[in-house]
Amino acid sequence: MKILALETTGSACSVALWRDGGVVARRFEAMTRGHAERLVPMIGEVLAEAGVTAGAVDRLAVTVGPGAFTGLRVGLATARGLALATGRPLVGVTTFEAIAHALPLESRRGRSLLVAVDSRRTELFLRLFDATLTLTPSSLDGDSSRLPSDAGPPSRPDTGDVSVSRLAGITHEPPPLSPEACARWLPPGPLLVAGCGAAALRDILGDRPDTVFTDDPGWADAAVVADFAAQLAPGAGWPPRPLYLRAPDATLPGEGRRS
Amino acid sequence: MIVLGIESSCDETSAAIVSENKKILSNVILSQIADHAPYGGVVPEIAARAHLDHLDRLISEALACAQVNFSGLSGVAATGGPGLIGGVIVGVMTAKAIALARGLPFLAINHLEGHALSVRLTSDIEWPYLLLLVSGGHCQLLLVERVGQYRRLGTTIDDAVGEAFDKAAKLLGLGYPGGPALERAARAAVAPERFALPRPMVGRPGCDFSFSGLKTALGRCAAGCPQPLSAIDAADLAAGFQEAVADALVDRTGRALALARIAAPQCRTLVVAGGVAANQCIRTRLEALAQRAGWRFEAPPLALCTDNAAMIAWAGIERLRLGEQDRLDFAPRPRWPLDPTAPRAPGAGVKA
Repeated sequence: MKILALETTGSACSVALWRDGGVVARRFEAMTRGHAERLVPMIGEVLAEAGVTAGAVDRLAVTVGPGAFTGLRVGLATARGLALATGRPLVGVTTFEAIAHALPLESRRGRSLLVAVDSRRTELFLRLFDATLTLTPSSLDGDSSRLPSDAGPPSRPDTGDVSVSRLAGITHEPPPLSPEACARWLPPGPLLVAGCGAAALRDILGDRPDTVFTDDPGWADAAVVADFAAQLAPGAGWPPRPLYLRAPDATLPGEGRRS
Repeated sequence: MIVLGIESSCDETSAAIVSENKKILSNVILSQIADHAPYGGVVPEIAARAHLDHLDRLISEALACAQVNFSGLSGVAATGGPGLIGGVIVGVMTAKAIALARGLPFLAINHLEGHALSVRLTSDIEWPYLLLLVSGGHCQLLLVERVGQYRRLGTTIDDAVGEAFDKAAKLLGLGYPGGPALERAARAAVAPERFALPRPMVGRPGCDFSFSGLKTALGRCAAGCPQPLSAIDAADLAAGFQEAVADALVDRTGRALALARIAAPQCRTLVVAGGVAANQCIRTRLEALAQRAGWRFEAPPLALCTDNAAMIAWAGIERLRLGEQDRLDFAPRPRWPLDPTAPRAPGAGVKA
């Protein structure tokens, strides 16, 4: 089986080809902009290096976010274009999953894992996993009174995003939280904090008992996305739709600008 | 030669299949007007999201409708700019991916070039011709010399003409999109001349446009009427505004006819393209101008005047026939003047 994976949601652009048990070709370039220029040539390089044509790929995978809106659209538009032109199935992988699955098992053993993704605002995109990388129902479940005060639902009527309504049913999916709200929200117990947003939590969670930080990997990597996609049963995984986790910035007439 | 065209630079998502013998095999357009209407204008992030949500499905529809599959294509053309960059990126990346997967040439089309060449898809027109491009995002006079060679004779120094219509309609409470709403309201006018509206730039040298002063004047006239604005006042104001815009366009285009003849003595055709070309009042006035000057007048059918992918596919065919294509590292361009040598119009903003 051959899987082609793309990742463009963060400050890197990466492409990987997985064949029968492992990644056989990969490109990874750090960049804060320029994904739209580099991505497709990188796909060409990876396919050429692996000696595979696009039509011979069995499955496509792409990170769906959260992350930079422009970046995740670059990856998703490309992946959906490839899926359309090859007729191959395309699976979505969240940035959270891509970062969580990149961590060595030893670092996660006996700990909850908090993945924090930079939202380019004060708030962070957060997700909590247990040591087996199963999503953990958070302490918010069944107790809405503990919802942090700055974590209201999106104030705009139209998120324009199917994925968000899908998420609405998942109670362990917190809205973007400030570092302070995150500290209040976390359940007790040993914790590993990872992701590009981890640094923003160091000051707030520094005194928390048995809490370990890792900056590596800050950004998701297509090699991990490919590996993770290989483990998914056909039809499993996320739909290849963007996971923005934030409504568009738009003010209705008369609504007034909120800060 | 059959080309897939993709357009996603503003608030229309479109995919089309066009053949070299000028047949539009399909031209699927999804308008986002309803998504943006509550905001009274296009919201870039909402537009970008909608393009991504729908584009791949629209391409499938366009192929099915044309009864063509990917192996029947000779190339993939997408608007590469200018426009709202979030949407342009979606179209460009989708096109690049298809081109890579199917081994097809990729063409990044300048959206303005799409408008400039669209008339050649429906009429047999020889080079050179004078183009008045009037849309929500653009207002330019261009001498079209051949594919890839454009000389800008004039441009707006502030608002595009369609943008001026949108703002005027909003001011008069006529709704969005403003062009059609304002034209409808103007039909009920009784005495539009009772409002003294300026004719911006009329009589001035050159062929540049300006519409922001006219919009301000309209606001002043409207404020002088009993509030809330009566239907009659709104209709007269709408008609007065439309007349002032038409006068300005006719004056500026008249000057461009003369300039075009100096630059290219054999030029005898005036082409009007862009969404504002759908305005009957403006179209009639320009047609009369051409007639008086002894010029041929051409305007693409309305469906090809507003944003659409057929014109992008056609521009792709025109360039492909010349052996041109673009690299897969093409960077989508929010700004992309058709005539990079044109001097910046005095006082002009980024849209000029």
